[in-house]
Amino acid sequence: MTINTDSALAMARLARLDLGAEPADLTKLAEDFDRIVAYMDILAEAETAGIEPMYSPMENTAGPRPDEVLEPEGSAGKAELILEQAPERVGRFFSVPRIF
Amino acid sequence: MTQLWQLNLAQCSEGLKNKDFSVTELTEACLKRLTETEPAIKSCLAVLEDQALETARDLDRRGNDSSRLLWGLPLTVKDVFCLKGAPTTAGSRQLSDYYSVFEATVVRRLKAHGAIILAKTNCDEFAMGSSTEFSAFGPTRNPWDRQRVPGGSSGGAAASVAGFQVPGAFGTDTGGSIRQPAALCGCVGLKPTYGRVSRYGIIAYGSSFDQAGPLARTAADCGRLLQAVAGPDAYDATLADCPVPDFVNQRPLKPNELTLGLPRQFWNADLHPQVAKVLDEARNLLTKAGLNLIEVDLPNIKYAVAAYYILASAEASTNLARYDGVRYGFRQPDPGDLMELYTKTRQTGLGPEARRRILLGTFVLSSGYYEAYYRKAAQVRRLIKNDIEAALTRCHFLLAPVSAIPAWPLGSFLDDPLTVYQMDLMTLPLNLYGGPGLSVPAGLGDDNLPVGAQLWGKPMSEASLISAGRVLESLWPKLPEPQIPVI
Amino acid sequence: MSEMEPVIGLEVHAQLNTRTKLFCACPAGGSVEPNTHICEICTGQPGALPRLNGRAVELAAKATLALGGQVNGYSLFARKNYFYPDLPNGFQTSQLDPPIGTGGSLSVAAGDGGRKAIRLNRIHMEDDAGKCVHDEKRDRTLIDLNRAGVPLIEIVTEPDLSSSREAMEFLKTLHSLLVRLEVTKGRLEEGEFRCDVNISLKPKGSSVLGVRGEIKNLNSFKFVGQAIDYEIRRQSALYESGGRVEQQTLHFDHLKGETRALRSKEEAHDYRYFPQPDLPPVLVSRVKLREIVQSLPPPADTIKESYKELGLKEDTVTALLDRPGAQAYFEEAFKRFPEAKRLGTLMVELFLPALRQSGTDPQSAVMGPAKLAALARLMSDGVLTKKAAYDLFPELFETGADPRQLVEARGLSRVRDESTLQGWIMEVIAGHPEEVKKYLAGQTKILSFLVGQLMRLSRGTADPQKASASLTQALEDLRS
Repeated sequence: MTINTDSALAMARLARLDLGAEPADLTKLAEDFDRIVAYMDILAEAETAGIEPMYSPMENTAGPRPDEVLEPEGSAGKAELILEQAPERVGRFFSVPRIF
Repeated sequence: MTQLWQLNLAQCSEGLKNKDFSVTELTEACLKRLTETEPAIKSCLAVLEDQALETARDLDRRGNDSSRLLWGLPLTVKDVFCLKGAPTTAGSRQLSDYYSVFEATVVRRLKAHGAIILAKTNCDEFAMGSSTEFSAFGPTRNPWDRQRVPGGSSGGAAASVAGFQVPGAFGTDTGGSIRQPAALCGCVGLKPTYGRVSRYGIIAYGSSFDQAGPLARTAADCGRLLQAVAGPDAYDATLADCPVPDFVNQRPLKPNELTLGLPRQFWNADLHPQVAKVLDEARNLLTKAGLNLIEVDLPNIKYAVAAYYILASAEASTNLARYDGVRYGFRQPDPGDLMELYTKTRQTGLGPEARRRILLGTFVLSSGYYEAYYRKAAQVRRLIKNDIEAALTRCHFLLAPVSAIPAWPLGSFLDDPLTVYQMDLMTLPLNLYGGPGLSVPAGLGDDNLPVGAQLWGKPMSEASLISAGRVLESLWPKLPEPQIPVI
Repeated sequence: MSEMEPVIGLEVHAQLNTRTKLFCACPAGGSVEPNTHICEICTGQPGALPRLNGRAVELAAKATLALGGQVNGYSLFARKNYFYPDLPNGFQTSQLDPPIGTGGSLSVAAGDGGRKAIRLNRIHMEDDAGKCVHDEKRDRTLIDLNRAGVPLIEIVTEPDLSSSREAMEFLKTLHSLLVRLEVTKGRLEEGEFRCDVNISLKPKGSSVLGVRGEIKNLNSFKFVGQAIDYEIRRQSALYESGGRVEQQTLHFDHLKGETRALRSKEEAHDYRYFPQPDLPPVLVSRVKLREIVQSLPPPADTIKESYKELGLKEDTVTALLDRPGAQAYFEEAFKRFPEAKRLGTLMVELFLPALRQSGTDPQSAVMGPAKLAALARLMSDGVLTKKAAYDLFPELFETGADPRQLVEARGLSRVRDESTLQGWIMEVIAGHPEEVKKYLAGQTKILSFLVGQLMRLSRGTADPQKASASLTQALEDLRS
């Protein structure tokens, strides 16, 4: 797979990144990206027919939690602490530029 | 005369128990050492002096409690651990003013065991990097040579231990981020089994790889630190539901009881002459002492770097989606609309390596490429796991170099991400597999830079892994103290 | 142009009836201030990890079994990635492959009087997003995350529905089933049961599907019907005029009664699904499955039949089955007072309307099933007239007082004391000589007037039948 500036921009858009307006920067970024992806293409050589994908090494995990309130110590006022972190608030709401 | 800050963790604990010195004296000594050396090595992002002294005095008032494993011991934690009362930044501008609303399970357990958290240490942004140069707050310096990197991403943690600021530290290892800086700085670093230590409250990079673990000056000290934090936690669903053995009081192993497998692919790799020299000597010492060294084969290891960077970046790309400037953290001022709020915030708030991995991760998961990259990499992950499992049927542990080169000059590879990724070849397969690994100093090169070697074990084998590490320590030369200009 | 017929599929979202959210221990639901039921997990704080709610898995499995689907012993959560301000993690945690439930069907009454089985494709669990409020004055969108992380199941049908009537019928049947199983509380006005409609037209007899429109987020059966009918007309008109139906996401404006394209997204979605690494696979053991199967109530049809055999009317049965908890309440009362018809009438005419007015659940009503049974018993024993019972009900419902004690205290029991009754009879006869004369002359219809007078004298406490009989006897005695 070859990566060019268009495909880099498309990925950036999906990931909500702004790659900036400088064409030189963008070209360099696409080249780096292309080199990395070209390296990843080595995987095509691996013989994986019939191999079950391994998504995680986790084993012997405990089951789900009960449907009960289980709060770590010192959680009082947590909602307030969370709201205090907001870059912009209206009352108890988080706030962003209007969507529609 | 020995200074308090020169003591290792076990010695500190013994001294406290014998009332040779108080917790406050020890804490003050470490804080003084930290303040003196910090301008040279810059290992810390936040020093929690007031809280630390307050805790120390409180512990002294109440007296020693032998049920608490880390009673009165000063430590640092990497700045990816959520801790109340100090910013938790993960080395990112995006979180430069962020205060966590809860504490990581590891931090809670450390405190419950009476540890004193002296500082939060520097790291590559969101633990993505191998040199700590991708911290938004500037690089940490190697205690052995201030013009060189400490390794990464837990570079601050390794430097704080190797620089004798604290006797122990906690870092995280996603692709080698504990073992590699430990090797480059000359301390011991333990990556526990995936599922051994709760990830709750650790800012995520690659969720199926991330694992918290200790760095210290001896393998036994790492065991003590692991003991305090390991085991089931209702807040991390991926933890193994199994009992925690005693890591502190293990039967010592005799050298001739140990068979170590040396993966051909690593030992035949292109190692830096100083690394090769130190490791050759280290190997000879083992053979002389009666250890049985055999060669083992990991045929699929050539795919490991590609598989790891695909899978870890895929996970990272969505783990970092929450940094959108809506609920917390940095937000680009006065965005025109929501799209601009997102893109400008993330472009400015996130650094170059984080953005690079987000792009890569987005690509390998995107429609049309998922099968060829993401799924294929997950299949290769199983092949590599099978290789390591097969090798471990022939020996107790695998023995491998940690890094093909010693600590490199700052700025060497900033423009060459792919080369840096490839430099993780000898650490990241263990994270693909999930087993535990221990990095131990093997000696000092002629360039006066430390070289490390690592042991890999089967899942949940930390107790015997630490015992094996103690054997290596006893046979290999003890590193001198790095000379750090103090202010 | 050949005749076109609609092809309709539904994606139904039902909020699971749990105490806490899907991945954290915050309360799920409750009307509180914005951003009150939030924690580090459901607001996507750095370092937080999800923990699956076991009850949600049981409820999803229960729904699957009740719908005749297969519960997968092994299913996975996946991250569905997209950015939206009400989505704290930047991804929704949903299930792609395999989901908790596969297949199943639900039969609905078809237009021809028969039944039609609507096949289900899948049932999966996922977490809900928060809510956006648009503040025009400030030109901001405001975000409340109380709902973020609340557990949902999504039930996806095959495109087996062919009219708005069938779709509404399907949704009502599904709603009443899930409510009866207590899988969901199903409060439509709270958005606890809502659906997306996929709709396309194809030439009659053809198997080639047309391009579909997707109408999002409908939370009333009526709107579903209206939206489908509008969309069928819109698409038909497009085909007839030679236009092209575009694949798009639509919103139904119920005030105007029309569908409208949501502002076209600037790009196609690419959700980049992949297995959620923070959650282990969801395992449902055979033992657990058997437990759930045993806990399932009999199918609605069986219950309906048995209720009808008890003498309950169709309307009554429907009312009992549709209201969550009503059936259990009824059965509890029925154990104490085995006269179904009288109980059913009390439930439908008094108890359920009172619940609706006060906004409470049957389980939490202060007037428990034993009290309702006691009231029915007082009526059937003839202690309380219907009128007196109905007058008394609001107070019983409000206070939960024991009906027997209240009747006693108020002196409301029917007067059955013979001498008092005889006294009233004498008074009526003495007070209405003309009418008595007429009666004795053969105008027996005048009796009902005289009974009425007696009832008035007794202030309704006399038993009308008994009064009538005794009065007749007294009048006949006058002849001799």
